[in-house]
Amino acid sequence: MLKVLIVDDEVLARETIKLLLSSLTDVTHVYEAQNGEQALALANQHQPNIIVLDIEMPVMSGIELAKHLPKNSVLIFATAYNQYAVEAFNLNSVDYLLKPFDDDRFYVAFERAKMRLRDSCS
Amino acid sequence: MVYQCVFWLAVHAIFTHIQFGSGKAVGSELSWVRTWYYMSPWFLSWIGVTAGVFFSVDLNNRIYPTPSKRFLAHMLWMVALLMCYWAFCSAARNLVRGEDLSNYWSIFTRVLSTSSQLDVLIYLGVLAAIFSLRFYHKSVQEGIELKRVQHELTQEQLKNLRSQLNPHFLFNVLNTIASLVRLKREKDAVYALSELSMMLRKILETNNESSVKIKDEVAFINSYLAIQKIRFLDKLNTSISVNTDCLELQIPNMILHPLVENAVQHGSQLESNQNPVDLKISRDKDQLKLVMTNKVAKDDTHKGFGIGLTNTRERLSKIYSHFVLELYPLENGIFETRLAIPIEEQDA
Repeated sequence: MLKVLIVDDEVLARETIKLLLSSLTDVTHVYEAQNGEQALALANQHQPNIIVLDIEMPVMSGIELAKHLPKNSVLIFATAYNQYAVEAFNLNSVDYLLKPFDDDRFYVAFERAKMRLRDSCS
Repeated sequence: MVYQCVFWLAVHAIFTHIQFGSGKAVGSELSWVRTWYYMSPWFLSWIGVTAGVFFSVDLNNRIYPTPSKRFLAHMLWMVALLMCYWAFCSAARNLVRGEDLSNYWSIFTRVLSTSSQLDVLIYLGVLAAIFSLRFYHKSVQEGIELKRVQHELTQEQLKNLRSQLNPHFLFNVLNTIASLVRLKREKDAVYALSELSMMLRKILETNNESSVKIKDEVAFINSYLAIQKIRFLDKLNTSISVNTDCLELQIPNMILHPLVENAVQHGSQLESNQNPVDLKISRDKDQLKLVMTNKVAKDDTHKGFGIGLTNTRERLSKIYSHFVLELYPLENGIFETRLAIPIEEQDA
């Protein structure tokens, strides 16, 4: 039973991740935010297990947002920028997807996130 | 060599004419040609002396690095060349007059005592003229070299700036196309691909061209906006208005695009929808005027002037001595960017 929050300012990017998540039976709730402010509100309200987030976004960048998100959420960054990778891995993220990515790459990242969740529960 | 021969022949002719006139006034029966012939050793020998001075200047410049040594060498060369000149002319004078060389020494000493000072002055004049000529040639060569280096540098910088067409934009567009395919919106995917192809074709094909027609730059911007509107849907409300008398004018390649890119970046990052990105291009006499209106977030950290505008300013300052690129805040977070650049003669 997983809750996933998608944070991206592009509708198409959010819809794509939603589509990819739709084939995963263990994902029960998907929330969407188009900026950091909305993401923070949804994260605090629903406590998602996994957060897939972009970096270049209005109001607050993905890196800045990651610093304020609940520590029990596992992060997957999905961005066209490769220069934030080191910073992202220092912020509790399990993977860093470079756009555009294929389906398999996304599912590998998602599996890593689930493993991290399992590790943190055990 | 040809020029100095012509020069000394002309000098010789002028002095012959003066001498002939003076002789005629005092009843001399020497013809102009005979006068020219008698005077020829004193003038035509300067052709050889001048060649010697040219040689000595080049040689001394090569051998002696310090000015003092070079000066000394020039003095020694002067003494040597003038001694040869006087020795030769003293003998040649007798030969052209059909006289033997029995009075050679008396002629030689007479030359030394009467005309040597004038010859030294002429020599120094020749030396100064050669120095000036060499200096002029060197300056011209250095100027050509400097222009070549500057041109290469500018081309390289323009190339670099062009290559800064945001690579993230490219990856984001590819991601958008991938999303459209995943979401079974094939028609939109093909449309985005065709617009992206148009942009890439322009970048790749214009390569090192420094200027493009406004209509081509605007076509590029339209493709860019079409793609961004697919990405950001109703975030942007774009409009481009170009006066028909501007369409064929030439402008520096990719000079407008960064302004539009900057405006789109600001507009797409806002929470509000229908954020304006209005571009108006018109002509005012010999100036091309561009007005870009767009919305910027109130707490924008770029202060309205992003990297795109900074690059544009740098590029403009390399191309034009006078241009205007200014940012004016209007109301409700709307900013107006005004660009004015001169229209070149060939564009008119």
